[in-house]
Amino acid sequence: MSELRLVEHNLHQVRVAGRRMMFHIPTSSLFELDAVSGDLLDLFDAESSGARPAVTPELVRESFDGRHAPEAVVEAIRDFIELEVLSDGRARAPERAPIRIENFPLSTIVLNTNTGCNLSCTYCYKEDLETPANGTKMEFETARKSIELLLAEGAQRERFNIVFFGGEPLSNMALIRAVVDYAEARASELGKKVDFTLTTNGTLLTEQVVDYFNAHRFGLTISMDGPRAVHDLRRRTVGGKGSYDVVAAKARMALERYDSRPIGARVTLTAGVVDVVAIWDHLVNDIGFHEVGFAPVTSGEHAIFALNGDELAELFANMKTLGGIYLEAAFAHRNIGFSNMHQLMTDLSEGMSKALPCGAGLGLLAVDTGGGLNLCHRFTGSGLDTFGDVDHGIDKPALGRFLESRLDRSETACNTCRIRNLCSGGCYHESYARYNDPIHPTYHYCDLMRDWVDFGIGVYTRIMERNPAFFATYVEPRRAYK
Amino acid sequence: MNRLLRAASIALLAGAGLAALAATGALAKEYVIAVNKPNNLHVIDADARKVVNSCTLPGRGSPVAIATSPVDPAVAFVETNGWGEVVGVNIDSCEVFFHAVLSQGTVRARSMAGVAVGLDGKELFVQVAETELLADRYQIRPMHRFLVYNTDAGLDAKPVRSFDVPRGQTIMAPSHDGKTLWSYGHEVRQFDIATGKILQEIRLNSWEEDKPTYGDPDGLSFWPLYDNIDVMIFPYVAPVFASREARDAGDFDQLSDFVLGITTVDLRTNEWAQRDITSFDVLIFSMVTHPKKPSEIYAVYTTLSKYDLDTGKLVDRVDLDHTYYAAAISAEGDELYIGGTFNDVAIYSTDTLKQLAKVMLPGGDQGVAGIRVIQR
Amino acid sequence: MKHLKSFNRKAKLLESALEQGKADEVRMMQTVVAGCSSTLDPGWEVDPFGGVAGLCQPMEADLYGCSDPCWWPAQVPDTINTYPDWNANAPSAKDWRVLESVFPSEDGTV
Repeated sequence: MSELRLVEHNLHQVRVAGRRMMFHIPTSSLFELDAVSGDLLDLFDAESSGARPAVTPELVRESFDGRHAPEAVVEAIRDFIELEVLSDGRARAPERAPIRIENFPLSTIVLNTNTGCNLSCTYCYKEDLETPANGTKMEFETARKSIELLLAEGAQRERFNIVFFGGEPLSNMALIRAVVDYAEARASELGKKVDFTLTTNGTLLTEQVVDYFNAHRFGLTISMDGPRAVHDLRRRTVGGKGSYDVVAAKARMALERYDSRPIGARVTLTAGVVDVVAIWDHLVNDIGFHEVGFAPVTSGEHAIFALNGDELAELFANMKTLGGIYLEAAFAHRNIGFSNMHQLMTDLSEGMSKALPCGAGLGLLAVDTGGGLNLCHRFTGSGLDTFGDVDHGIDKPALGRFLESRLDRSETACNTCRIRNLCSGGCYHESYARYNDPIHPTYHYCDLMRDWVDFGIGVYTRIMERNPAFFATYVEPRRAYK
Repeated sequence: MNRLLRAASIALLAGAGLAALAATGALAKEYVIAVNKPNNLHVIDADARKVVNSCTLPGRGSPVAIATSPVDPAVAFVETNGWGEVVGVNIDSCEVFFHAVLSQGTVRARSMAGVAVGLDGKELFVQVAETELLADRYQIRPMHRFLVYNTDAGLDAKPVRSFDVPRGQTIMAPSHDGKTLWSYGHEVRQFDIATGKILQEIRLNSWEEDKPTYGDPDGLSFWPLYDNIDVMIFPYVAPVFASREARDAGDFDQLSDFVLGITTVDLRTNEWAQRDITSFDVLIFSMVTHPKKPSEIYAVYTTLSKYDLDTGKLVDRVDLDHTYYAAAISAEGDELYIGGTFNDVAIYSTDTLKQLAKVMLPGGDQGVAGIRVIQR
Repeated sequence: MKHLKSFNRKAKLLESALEQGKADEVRMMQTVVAGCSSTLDPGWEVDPFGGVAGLCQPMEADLYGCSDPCWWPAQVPDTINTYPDWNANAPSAKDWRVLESVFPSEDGTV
């Protein structure tokens, strides 16, 4: 056995309440170390001068003589070499074999039903936003072709999803109803299942519309930013009036009569709006949403409502506070509806190892009102080129090249980052807004995200310790029932 | 009385113009009711050894439990359709006169073979295990329930009342007092049918103080097999240790025996008993006693055994050609009817344990469904 | 892996893959694959006496008697709720050969 080296970028250690956890980065596996494996890794700690000691067989034998049985140490070394956490000098396979992306097995199509919206939220990222009257509506024929494209590209899938977006999708209910009828008929013919989801500002919900969505088991999200003062800060009508009163009333109405799937609230956090605990409390405990998902606003660096560095730090600190509330509730076998945390728990519990940050382009495409194919709903109407259209199909070489360039981490800080297989460079639109380049990793979030994942590992470990049944109840079956 | 003698008596008495008595007592004809896949109910003439009527039950089937009426032998209630529905059918005309879907609203209900008609024939009791289907998860109701229906509630029957029962309370039988129901579960319990209150509890799962050297009993009772004897019999198997300390420590090196025993409930008197019979040597799925000689007991699974309860001795045993689950007995005690598993009901002599007949049921397996015996 | 305790699903997967020399497969996984196990075992490996003589005879006699009440929920599909038609083509268990496996759909719903 030659000198052992630590493959630093393949592991990340986190201490959680007396346990020593090791996150195996290539696979997103989480392990607990025992005394042998823990002490072995300690051998590689750099001395105060910053230089790592040469870990030779002699050093190993000397260090553990009298402390651990030699067989145990050898076992641990072997396990670490298999995991490529330690190297004995032999050549290593790349983390992922380079792949060419040629197929796009879509499961989801997002339809921009109308570029028009009846609100004028100050931070909206939609570059093509109009009032409903002036907005461009999607024609049914475009939607129909979109569905057929989805069914053709994703032919082997048993289930497909249609997402309605905008502008404000409720301003084009006629299209939604026609799409639902068509999609359900096609699903029935093909023996597949179809799911519908929709994000709305909530102002145009009526009992009739809510019942309609309920009957077709729509997954609904209502955009609401928090209590009145927070919500009305930015979510305003064209005339500048706050929309809280209307949206809160409509949300309560919907929640009261909706029983097919949970309804979530989507919160956009902006300058001065970082108190996620109060926002969660209001939306879940006062209004009654089943869950709340938070997103810091996507914007260029200098937009008036952008969160500055200090505010981002405060925001993440508050996310951790809410995470602490999530943890206590998880001990008591309750789920408080904090979507960001819940998603992180799902990723850690499953051990998600993501080569790409999301399904955009690979599992999901968004169709703009003109039939152009975009990476996702955020890009419809944006300056980024489309990747084909519903008449001519996906521009596969272009889309493949785009995704492959994000897959290639070689010239980026992602290459050795400890959360590279959870973050995977971040949201393309976030990058586009900040750096004018969707491939550019979202470096402005790196430290915060790494810290957030460490926090998540801590929460996960603690829940596994006290109430592992939480995952069986709330994380594993995170889907609609039959 | 054997068959020939009975046939002769009927001929004589009929000739004597006592045909009016034909529906009662020794002159009544005996039938076995069986259900099988896909969704059939069969009426077997026990004398003729054949199926004389078959009904197709509505729905996807796999019927599992049969409740007969103490007052009207022409009706049978069957639990079927994913164990989520009960249908009431006239066994002659096959007319479906009762239909209850146990699930209501967002609460999904399933019954584990717990269905019985009350003594006056007016009420139907159905055990349910319920799960609430919330928008994002399932929530299991911690208690099970007995739902109570009126037997004349028709094709869209809804329960008129219900009461919570401990989990796992399944098969049930009405007591002859007309006011209570006995049911098998982790413990055997007697319920007041008006209030749901537990009046008596026979400990099984929690018998450790009653039986300090016995480990936990292993019991299986999935079929109401008290027809013609009016006694519910619940077999158990339990390890017996040399001492209480050994039992508490689970020290199987100090095992003194593995026993087969029974808990019995007399539906006529509400009295119960619990006793070991013998050392356990073969698996038993159900047992039934002779209506006229209560110390004679029969047990079925892959063998058919006859024991003497007074001595605990095995009197006779034969191998069966396949496993059967449910054993019932004729009113005279001369014949044993055994059913469950495949699609036949076999008839054995209680005297010689010889197979007298095998009645094939059209259709598929009975599976875990049992059989009932009626007189009319 | 004696000195590393698996703490999430992927770790457990990796552990068993390493035992079979298939670690690379796990490394290549980008989403969690729903594990699939198929078995024709009726669910009772042995009878209380440690043999098979005490099991139902023949085994088919027990198939629906045990699967209908979900006696072995991990071994056969659940016909009470989720797969009501699993044995629709075989009302007699002697026709067990036509029974098919069921597979979870790729997103884990049924």
